[in-house]
Amino acid sequence: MLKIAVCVKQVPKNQIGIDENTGNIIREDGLNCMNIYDYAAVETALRIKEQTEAEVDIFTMGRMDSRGVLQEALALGADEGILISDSKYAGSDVLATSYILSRGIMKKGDYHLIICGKQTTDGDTAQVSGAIASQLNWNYLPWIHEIAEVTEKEITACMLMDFEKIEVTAIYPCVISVEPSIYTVRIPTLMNTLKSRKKNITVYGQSELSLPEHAIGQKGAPTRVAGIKNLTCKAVPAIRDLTAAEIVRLICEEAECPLESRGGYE
Amino acid sequence: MNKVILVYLQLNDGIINPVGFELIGKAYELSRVKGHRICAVLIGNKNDTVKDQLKGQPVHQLFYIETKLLYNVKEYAGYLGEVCRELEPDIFLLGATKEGRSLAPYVAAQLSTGLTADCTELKLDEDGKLRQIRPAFGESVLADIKTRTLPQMATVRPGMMERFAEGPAIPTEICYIDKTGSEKETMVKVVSVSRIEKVKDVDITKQDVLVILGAGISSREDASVLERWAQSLSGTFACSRKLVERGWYGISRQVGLSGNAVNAKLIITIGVSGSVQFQAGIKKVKNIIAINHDEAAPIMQIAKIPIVQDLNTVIEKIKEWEDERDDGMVRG
Repeated sequence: MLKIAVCVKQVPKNQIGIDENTGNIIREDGLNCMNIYDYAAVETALRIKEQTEAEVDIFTMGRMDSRGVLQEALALGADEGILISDSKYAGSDVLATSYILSRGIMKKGDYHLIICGKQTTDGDTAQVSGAIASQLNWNYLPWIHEIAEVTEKEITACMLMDFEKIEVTAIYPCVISVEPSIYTVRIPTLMNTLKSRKKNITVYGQSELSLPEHAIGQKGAPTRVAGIKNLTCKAVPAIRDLTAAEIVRLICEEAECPLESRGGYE
Repeated sequence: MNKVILVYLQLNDGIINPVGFELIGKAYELSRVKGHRICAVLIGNKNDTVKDQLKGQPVHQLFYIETKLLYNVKEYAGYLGEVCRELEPDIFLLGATKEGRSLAPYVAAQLSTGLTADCTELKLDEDGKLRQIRPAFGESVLADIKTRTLPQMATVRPGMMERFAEGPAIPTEICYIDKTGSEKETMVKVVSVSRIEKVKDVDITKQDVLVILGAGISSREDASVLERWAQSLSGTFACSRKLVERGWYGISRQVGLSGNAVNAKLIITIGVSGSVQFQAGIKKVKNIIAINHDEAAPIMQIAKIPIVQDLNTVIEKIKEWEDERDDGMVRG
């Protein structure tokens, strides 16, 4: 049976900022949700499951409260959730994250296919899926916007590149990242939500994975944020007392297109 | 010293992607600080025009990896990894195109090095370390990122760096690396390739004046008034992501992270709130007039002239003038 791992991430629900002095993330309301791009990854796995009776396991790495996103994916129809969480994993960048995730996935089982969303809304790098493929030395199909066929041995899918669509057939194992446009995502049914409460969530920490300390967390992260600059700091006082006519005139002048010269707008 | 800055040149149909020249331009600027050599690497069918395309560019050495394989991340990343291990560059830059953004993480993880995505600025600090500047957290902040491993890798957002303008001519030595035949080993077979039809009615990145329409505009009629007005300002109109999502316009009109980065001398945003994604697309624009009913909108914080006004009133006024002009023309 085809085994599929899907990677999802818990992200802050609302606009977040950074405290310029401390460098800490400001989570305005403390609310979290599943990264919006990950729904497409879960949906893709579930569609394949419907066609081929695949097993779909959901992986996430994060704080213990990331359990919520696993539960959500289970309610959508996935089979099992795996939460990779340990205080030693905090501070991981793309390299360390992809290392930890790939080791967690390997520990859980022999998967044929790993599906990731295109990017996250917080990190916004779109790099983790490719780095996971690299850590595993698997083939990698990025920017998948259409899946033509999935068999026991291979997947045929279409990559949306810069200038062309390239349809390829890849033999497993393989990592794919999917475009949000790939499918319309489902909402959980009451039945699946009830069923999901009985589904298992496995937690992996350092005591299960025993990863070398130099490769995880801050120590395993070759990139560092050296500084942060808020983009919204040098505001000019807003102008409130212009009439519409004055505004239009002002703009025409700025555009070096005075009203008078164009015949029309006198 | 043999310190190298390596840039990846993406080849599409035998043509070097424009972002490649922007990388060379930036690499040249960086190289002047510590005397780096600039090397480039590209992957594709053997093509004699590449030499001409690179004429006058400050590239010391080009590694030309010959393969018949179409874009194949694992194989391509393997080739680039080999070049990096051989050359040991200090810095390795790729364009943040779809190709670059998918290739770079595979290479970086192979080399166990750090990678910064989608940089909008790069510089060397006093220690000669690469400072990688990128918008982060929904583009509300600029993060300044350092990498402690080598090569320091980054993808660079297209349209953000200046091309190399002029300088002493450097003869480029081309080293061919023959990987033809490796296509037999890959587990990924190409089924078909089709070009993405880009209905680029207008190139908003090349306009001097842009009127940018945002989610605050509530009707198509209002939008078309502003479209015409943009023309009468000798410019054209563009839009924020919201209007593309509404289906009003295509991506070619969209300004922002997932759209286009524009280079206009003046932009007038109308009803645009100015998310950080949007701001990524107007980074190069100095002259911003923003009209919004909400003084607290992010765009108002970065505009040169932030104007608080009800959009309907402004659009109504523009429409009035337009009608008068049309009447005038009919009469005339």
